[in-house]
Amino acid sequence: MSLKEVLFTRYLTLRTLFIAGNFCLLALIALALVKDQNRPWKKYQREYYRLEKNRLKNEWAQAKTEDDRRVLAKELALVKGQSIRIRQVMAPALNRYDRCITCHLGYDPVLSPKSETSYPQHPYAAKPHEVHRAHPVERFACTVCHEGQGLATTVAAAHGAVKHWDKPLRTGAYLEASCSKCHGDLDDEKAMPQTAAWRRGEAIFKERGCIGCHQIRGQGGPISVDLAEETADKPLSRIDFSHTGLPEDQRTLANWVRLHFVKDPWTLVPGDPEAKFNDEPVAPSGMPFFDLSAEDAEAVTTFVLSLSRDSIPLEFMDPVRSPRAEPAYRNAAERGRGVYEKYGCAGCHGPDAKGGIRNYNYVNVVEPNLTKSVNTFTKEELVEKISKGVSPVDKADLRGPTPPLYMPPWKDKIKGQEMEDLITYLFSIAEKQEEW
Amino acid sequence: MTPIKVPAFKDLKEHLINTQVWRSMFRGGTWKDTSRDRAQHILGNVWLHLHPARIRQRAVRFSYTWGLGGLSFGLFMILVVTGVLLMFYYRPAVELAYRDMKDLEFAVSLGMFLRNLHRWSAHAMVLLVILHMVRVFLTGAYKTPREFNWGVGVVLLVLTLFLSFTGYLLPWDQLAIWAVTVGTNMASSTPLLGAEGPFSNWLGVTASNDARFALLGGTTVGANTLLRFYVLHCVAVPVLAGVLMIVHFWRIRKDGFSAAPLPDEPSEKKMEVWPHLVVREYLGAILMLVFLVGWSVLVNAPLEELANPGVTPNPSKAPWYFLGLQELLVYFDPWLAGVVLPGVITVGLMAIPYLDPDPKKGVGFYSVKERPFANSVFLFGIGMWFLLIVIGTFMRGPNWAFYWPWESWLTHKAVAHNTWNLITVDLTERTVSFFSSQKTPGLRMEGAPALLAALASAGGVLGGYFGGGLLFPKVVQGDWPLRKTIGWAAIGSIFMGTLAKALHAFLFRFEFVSKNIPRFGLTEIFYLAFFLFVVWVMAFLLPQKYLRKASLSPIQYGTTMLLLLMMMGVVLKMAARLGFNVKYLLSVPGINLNL
Repeated sequence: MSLKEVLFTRYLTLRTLFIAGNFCLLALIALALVKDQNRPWKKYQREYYRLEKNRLKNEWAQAKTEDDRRVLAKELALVKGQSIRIRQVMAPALNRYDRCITCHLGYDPVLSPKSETSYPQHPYAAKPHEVHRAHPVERFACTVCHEGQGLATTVAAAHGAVKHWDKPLRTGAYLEASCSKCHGDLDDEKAMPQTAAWRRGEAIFKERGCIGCHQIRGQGGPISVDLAEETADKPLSRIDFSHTGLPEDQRTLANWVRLHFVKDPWTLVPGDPEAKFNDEPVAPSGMPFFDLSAEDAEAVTTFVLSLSRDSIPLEFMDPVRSPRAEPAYRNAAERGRGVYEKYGCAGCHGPDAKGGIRNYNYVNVVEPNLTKSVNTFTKEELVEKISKGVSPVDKADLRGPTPPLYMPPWKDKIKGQEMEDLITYLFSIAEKQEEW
Repeated sequence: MTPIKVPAFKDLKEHLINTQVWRSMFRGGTWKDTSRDRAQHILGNVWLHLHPARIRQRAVRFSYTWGLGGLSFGLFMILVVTGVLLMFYYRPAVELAYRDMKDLEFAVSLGMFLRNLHRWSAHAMVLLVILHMVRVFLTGAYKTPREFNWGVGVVLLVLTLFLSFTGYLLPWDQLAIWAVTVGTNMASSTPLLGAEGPFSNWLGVTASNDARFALLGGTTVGANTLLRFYVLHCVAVPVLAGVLMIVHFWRIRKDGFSAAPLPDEPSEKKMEVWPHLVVREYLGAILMLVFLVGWSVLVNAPLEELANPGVTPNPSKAPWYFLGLQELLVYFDPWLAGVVLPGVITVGLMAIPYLDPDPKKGVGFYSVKERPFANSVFLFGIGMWFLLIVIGTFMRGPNWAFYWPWESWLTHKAVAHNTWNLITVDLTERTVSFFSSQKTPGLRMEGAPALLAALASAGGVLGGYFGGGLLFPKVVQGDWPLRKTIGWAAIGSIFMGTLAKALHAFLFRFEFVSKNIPRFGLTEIFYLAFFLFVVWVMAFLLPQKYLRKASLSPIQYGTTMLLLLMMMGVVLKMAARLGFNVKYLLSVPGINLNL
């Protein structure tokens, strides 16, 4: 008998296949059921109920009055009556259906109405917090502020650390970015003491003149993208992570924005200056290398993320801005410095107009130092230069890419008194030209 | 006290079977395991009675049918059951569909398992239905009197693809809407009926009244599309497929079950269907279920981000079984790749039994030697179909650039080379350009003589290919043994290659050629020679040898050769594009006609 015959007449007979097939199918269906029954969230609930029962029993034993005992007994009965089930808070107005409390039972409105537990360990910890008090979970649910995937019930998926989920859990400073969804007064330290990082980010954003190139909902310079409309809600599938060096699980929008402040944007967005991949050469990013500290970078990232829009119903909005004290300027030059900051001139010409911001393939390599160049102009020439702008700027290598930075015409934005003040400021800081 | 007598199990069973209730439900009395009993069991049971009582032994062999037809039906049943269960949790509205997917995964008991089983079974069904068709072809089981049932089978194949395609949209994630966008965009290229198809402007067809609009219920994939696809997927197509399956099975039974009778063995040995066939069918179903259930426990069905019409993924891919057609979009206009070619393939498949020169030859077994022409051409086509699918699935990345499966899509790839057209006709300006590309205008001519020249060149190329292809195998006489064949092939290929080289050398003196095809070295000659050789073997040698003397009417011969020449035309066009960056032979943008 050949091997094949032995195989089919002795081992793989219809009878053995019949029995093995039925058995395997049964076993696999049982496996599917077991897997389904042992969902990972169940163990957290069991453990929480155990912890609560122990705590309440201990407290009951130590309770001094009959009233205390009655209250504790009631609580214990409540915990004992709980089944293992998926728990969720629903905020249909915010389109949020969050199952976070399936594991984080310390925030369950029934089990823990004060959103407070004494357990230090994750996921049972729930510390009293004034922000939570002001935003009851029954009304706001969780992910409207914390982001992540509220419908999910596994650790990785719920915290949004999975593929195809663009909004991972917001932690640390980034959590402040969510406040802007409803609140308009993040800059008011008294009204919103919690958004310190956001305020720091906004200050750096202004100081560095980001608005000179970027817009926020159409307001700002035309050189680069609108941070509110394009960046803050950018889908991950649209981001080219190839030069970030980030491992797959860290390719988030927050990291993408943050890297722009700690890594050289030329390495992050190198373009295609030699036209290897495109028909025409493409310059690398026009953005300067700010090299911010880790903390500052997170702060500016928080500010950028806060520009995102979410569809929040009006009843939740608190857009009132606290009136901002008009900065007190002593003279025209100081007012002019305000104008210089307001329109983000520093983005190219530096925080003190000392220049030095690089521009790829620009004939002069870096943007001009105004303190040195202003005195080569008369006042009228300077006004005309600012009004008309410089576009396109001259290339160093004529076959190379167009330099990314240029001076847009400012005539529609800076005019009248503002222009006067700006000119005064510029001449006030200009170095004296040597007489030839 | 008398002890209570416990009746024997056998007696109890006997008693049960003879009760009025049992006898009213099941026909036949106590099972005596006689031949008559077994036949009665098949004939008296509504679920089994489509089977004959006895069957030729050959048909029961697993390696004859591979159980593919039965398994396809089994998969259909799995899909019906899992699909109905999924319908309890799914709402076809854009605000809810994706959330219901998440609920299935995270909250519904066995929800993810159900969705996995449904998804993987659907993929398996598409594959098995195609393989079933291949098996039927190779065993000649489509021949007289089964021509009609083969046609029904082809329609069922198309319905299977359509069922899977409509289901693809329902999760309402990025994968879904973009795959459906790619798939339905092809409908907008239908000649006459699609807004972007040739000649449609003559009928006043626009994006809001064309074929795609009818499919989508709008100009883009939206809420109406979801509802439409839901109804098609859950009601219309399954009912239609079910009706055709009834016809299919009925005809199998009437045309003489599975293994067709061998002509030289009219009285073959038969065996009883109960239990021999039924147990094998059951076994096939069980083993397939084991595989699919195991797969579904281990691997989750894909679900990407919530559908967002504003964010097009790069690349956007159609479902895998349409990726061959999508890959063809590189080489052909959408109306050819997406409408004409699939149409010709479907009609061509249905025509096969009617183009058969000898309906008695090679029936009932894997007839490799008996039907060299039929098998070579059919397997070549199937091979190409799957090759294109593999390329489209695993080797196409962002911007549809070529990536090896192990290459990261984050690696940047250079843009495609400068492509050029042989003839471009501008109807409004009444000009013709030869050898024009994006970078060079080529050789421009104006006026009526130029249009005539274009018509003559295009007609010459196409007419030469199809006319010559039709005539040569009939006209060239004598036998061509293998050695002579290869000799002639070598000489012919070298001759053609040299001719091409000479032509190129002549034309290279003009800028419009040198910019488009800068290189024409040994590699290009070999490349050209290889494709010419393949076409020569498939489109000349095979028909010359096997069709010249076959008993085919002129219509049968012409149809066979046209289908064959079209298939080889696809190969030639791919070769021209890949090797020489030729985009179109003839391009008339004014009427959306590009060849």
